[in-house]
Amino acid sequence: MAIYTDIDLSLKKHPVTGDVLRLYDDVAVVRSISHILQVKSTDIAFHPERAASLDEYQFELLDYVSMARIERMIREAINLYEPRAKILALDLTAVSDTLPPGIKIGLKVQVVNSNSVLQIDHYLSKVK
Amino acid sequence: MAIPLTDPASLDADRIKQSLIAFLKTQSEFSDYNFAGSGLNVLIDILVANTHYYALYKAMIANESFLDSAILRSSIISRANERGYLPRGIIVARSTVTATLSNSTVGQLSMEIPKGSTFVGNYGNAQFYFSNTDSAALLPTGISGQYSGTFVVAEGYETTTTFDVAPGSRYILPNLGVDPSTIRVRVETSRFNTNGEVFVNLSSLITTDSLSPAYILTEDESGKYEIIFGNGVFGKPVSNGNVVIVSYHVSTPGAGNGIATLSPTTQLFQVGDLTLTNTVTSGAELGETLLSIKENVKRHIPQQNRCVVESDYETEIKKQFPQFKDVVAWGGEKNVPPVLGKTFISVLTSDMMPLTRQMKSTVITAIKRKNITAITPEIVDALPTSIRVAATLKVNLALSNSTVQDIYSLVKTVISNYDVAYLNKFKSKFVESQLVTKIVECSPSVISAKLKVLLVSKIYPNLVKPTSYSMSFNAPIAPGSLTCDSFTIQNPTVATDYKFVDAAGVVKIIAIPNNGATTYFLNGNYGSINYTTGEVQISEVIISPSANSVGLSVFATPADQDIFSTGLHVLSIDTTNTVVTSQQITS
Repeated sequence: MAIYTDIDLSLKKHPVTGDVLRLYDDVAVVRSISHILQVKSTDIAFHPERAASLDEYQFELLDYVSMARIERMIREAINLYEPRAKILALDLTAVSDTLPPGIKIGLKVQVVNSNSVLQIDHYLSKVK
Repeated sequence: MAIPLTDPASLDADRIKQSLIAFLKTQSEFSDYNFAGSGLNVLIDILVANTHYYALYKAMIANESFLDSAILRSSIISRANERGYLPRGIIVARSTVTATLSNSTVGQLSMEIPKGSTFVGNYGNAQFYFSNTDSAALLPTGISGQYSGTFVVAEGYETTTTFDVAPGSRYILPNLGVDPSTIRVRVETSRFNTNGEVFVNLSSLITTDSLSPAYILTEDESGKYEIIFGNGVFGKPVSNGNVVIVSYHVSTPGAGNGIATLSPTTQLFQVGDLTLTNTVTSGAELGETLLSIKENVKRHIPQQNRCVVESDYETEIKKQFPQFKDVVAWGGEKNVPPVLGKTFISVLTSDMMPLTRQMKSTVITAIKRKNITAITPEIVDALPTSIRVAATLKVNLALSNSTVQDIYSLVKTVISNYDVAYLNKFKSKFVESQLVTKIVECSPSVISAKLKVLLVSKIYPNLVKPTSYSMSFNAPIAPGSLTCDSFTIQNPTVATDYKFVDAAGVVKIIAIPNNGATTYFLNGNYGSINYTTGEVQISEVIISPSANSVGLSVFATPADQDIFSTGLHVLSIDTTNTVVTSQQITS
């Protein structure tokens, strides 16, 4: 029996039931963290604080200061808004030798009350 | 399953979200609605933003649909237009100029000052330009080579805007700061045919037919004036290819008053010496405020743009002359003895001075267009009565951090505010207990207050000719209380001040020698006092108020410290002479 049930925002339909697809447990948590990393401060009406706002660093230099700030923002956002996940590791890698340049975010989390360890990879592009 | 509308009237986004989450709790398909990053939460946030936007939008539409709740100027103007009310625009400062041209060409029928000639004047450090709204003709005075004439100049400059008539055209004057009374509209046949006619502002549909060259003036959503031509039923329409030429005066809103001297910016005549004298520029007013529009629209509906009953006159004058503080009108049948066929109007100006003859004439002209034919409006001057207040306080300084001077200042402010809020208008009331309450409430240190009130009326003595004076305090006065500022009489034998005093209902003059000698009464009686009505008659006398004084103030103590103004009387507190004293107590 699934504990967590979420809607799949791809809005594809289930091939058998015809309902919109649902996400369960680990997948739901991974998708939730992905959403948190993608949300901008202007996306949620009246709640700019509920966003990781990583896009603010889109035009910053790829230096250690920026990387440290991004790491801090990711940790704060997940700790605040995704209580189901505990961060085990967070790796940020600046990528400048491929196009588009950006930051590769590697996040390892454990789902609370579960033994599942999930790897989430996100790419913060410097180009829209 | 219905969405539980726990708080459907709320526009708050968070409460809308809580309603949606409350709904989701009732189903079993999804459970992640409470997690900020879940897909469900993303959808809910979108729905909340959408719901909130439409709720706000609809609330705003509802608000802006009604005159009482509208906030946007464009909405208020639109609601006013629906009711046939055109908000008053700015009024430019004007002055009547008398020009005399001497030593000029002999034998001319007239000398013309062209329309739009500019004149300059200073007010403080600011310089203002005026121009004449119509050409002025100076006529021969009878002295060889001398011509003279009067004309009106208005602050700002004349300008012209031309529109080509085409399907869907709007005729919006591009300038702000337009005085609507200066708008002149001429419609010509085409760019190549300058035949045409002058269109006038449509003031009444009753006198308008399909051929009337008339336009309607409205204010558009940006505060600029728009000219709307007739539709062929009410008013003559304009045709494609016609050219609309609009000339008007653009000025600095609310500025240009108080300039005593104007001079031309260029030499107006090649031959002759031109001298100008002008009345002090006056009349500049800002456009009608939104609050004023809301109030006047309400009065405009029952008034129906006519002057029939007393309140119609008051409404119309307040509408056309917002610079007046108050207006009262009454039918002549209420006078004693009755004066039939007349409506009397009294106007209170912001400086409490009587209207000039020119201004009276302007007001009458404005009214005559809308009142009943057989009724003659007449303006009579208001009768201002001042009240001097002396307040005696009991104060306990331990009850606040204020000093005695702070308290005096507070009390004077309270009295001044009372004057602004309750007095300075017709049918006003000075209620002693009301003012005492406000004084006591102004500081915890004020334990009690007692007021002593004096009524003050002013006469402006004729300095050269024996003149009798009549004044009324418009309230019962206490016997023996009449007195006045000191004055001098013609050819006094010694340096002596004189005053009117009350001797049992008879006005006497008491002489007060400056050398300290005993005071004495002059022979004879100088008038009478009616204690019941507060009327005072002073018989023919030549007196001069003391130096530095405009007029002579006459005082009386009212029999009752609650004073009500009736008729033409207007009460105001003489705040510059308010006296506050105190007795300090410690318990």
